[in-house]
Amino acid sequence: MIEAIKYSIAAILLAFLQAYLIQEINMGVWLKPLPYVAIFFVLNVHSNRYAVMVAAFAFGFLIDLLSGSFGMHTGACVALAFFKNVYDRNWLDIDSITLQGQQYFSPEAKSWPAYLQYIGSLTFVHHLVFFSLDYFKADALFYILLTAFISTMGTIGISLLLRALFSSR
Amino acid sequence: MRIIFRWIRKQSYLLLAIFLFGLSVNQVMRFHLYQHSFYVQSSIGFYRNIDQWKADIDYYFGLKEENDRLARENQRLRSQLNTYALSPDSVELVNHFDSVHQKSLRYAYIQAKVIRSNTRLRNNTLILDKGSLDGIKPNMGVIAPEGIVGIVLQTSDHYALVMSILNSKFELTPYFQELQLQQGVLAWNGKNARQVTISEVNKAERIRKGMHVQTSHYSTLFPPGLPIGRVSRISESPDNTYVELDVTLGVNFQRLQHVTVVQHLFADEEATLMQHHQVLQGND
Repeated sequence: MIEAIKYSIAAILLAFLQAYLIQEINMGVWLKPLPYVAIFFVLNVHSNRYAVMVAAFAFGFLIDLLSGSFGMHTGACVALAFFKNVYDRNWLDIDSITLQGQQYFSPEAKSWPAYLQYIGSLTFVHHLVFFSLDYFKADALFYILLTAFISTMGTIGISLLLRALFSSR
Repeated sequence: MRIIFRWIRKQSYLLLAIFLFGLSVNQVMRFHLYQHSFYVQSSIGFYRNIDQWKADIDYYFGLKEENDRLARENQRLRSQLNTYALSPDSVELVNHFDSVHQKSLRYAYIQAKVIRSNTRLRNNTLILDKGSLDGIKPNMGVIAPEGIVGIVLQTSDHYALVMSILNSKFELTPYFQELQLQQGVLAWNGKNARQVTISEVNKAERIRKGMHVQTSHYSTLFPPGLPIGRVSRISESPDNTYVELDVTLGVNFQRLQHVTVVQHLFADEEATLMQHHQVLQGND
């Protein structure tokens, strides 16, 4: 219960951070980082997948409400929650993480390259869905892929920064 | 049934994800102008393609009937040619051809196929498979061999939307061939897809059942003398000064496949003249 409240507060803070700070900073045409996805990296791997899916929908909806981008963040968050579940079940060694006494995947659980691959693929899927809904044009596939790729780099950078900040505390 | 429930339970996570994602996409398309217009354009294109396929299938299965109709039309045209050829008065013949020639010079014709038609609404419309790229513009008349069909309302590059005669907004001055009389207002009463009514016809005129109703010289959209239908019922208006007529249409809109769009070649000239006239009246 306390864990759920902690996640909810973090989600609300990240939603406000995205809508009122990061979205307002102009970083160029291709770079549009969405660091709120970091909350999905620290979700307990044993969480109920249905609850996570519904929570992802509500989280995306909140960001959409605050930033006026109805549906885009919601769709991307739902896609991310689905892909995370697939990744966790098929490619992540959940037993190993549990045995190490950890609740989510971290570099300490395996290695930095494996961790970067994990957060990189989750972020890329989220951004790909988000920018697909934003451009909404089959002709713009190249721009969607390019924007998703560059923004993924930016998001991972900010996520690692946030991680470093909170870890030090 | 049990297998279906088991499958739903097994796939419930995927179904939940699809449902929530569908809700998100729905929001995107409802609240974002570009995505909404893209969706509307795509769905219009999709439905037009379905209409085109359906029309092609209908056309294929209606070939026999279409052949019969063309044969009847050929016969009618051939008999008209015979009439002209056998005319004993050569002067009359020349005049007649002259007037036909002049009439034909005033109008150009574009053939089109009907890909969607409705007859059950109060304001019925048709969609044709030709559009602005084929030379069709709004306010052009649409006819079939059996009679007039409607007026072009809007065009896209490849399609045209036509207000059918079975539309509450359609009005026309009719011409009674036997009496050589242009009088009344022809409109659809919304009750029967094979029938229109003519109101405001003077009671003193000797209208009879079976008389031919045609387009008049007053119309700028249709060439004069095109068939509309035949008078099928005559009734007196409540104030007893006019008669109201029911006219059975020549065109069967439920089976309409081929139409001709009429382009009035001097429509712009006529409109300019009318504008001048209105300006002069305004100055007076």
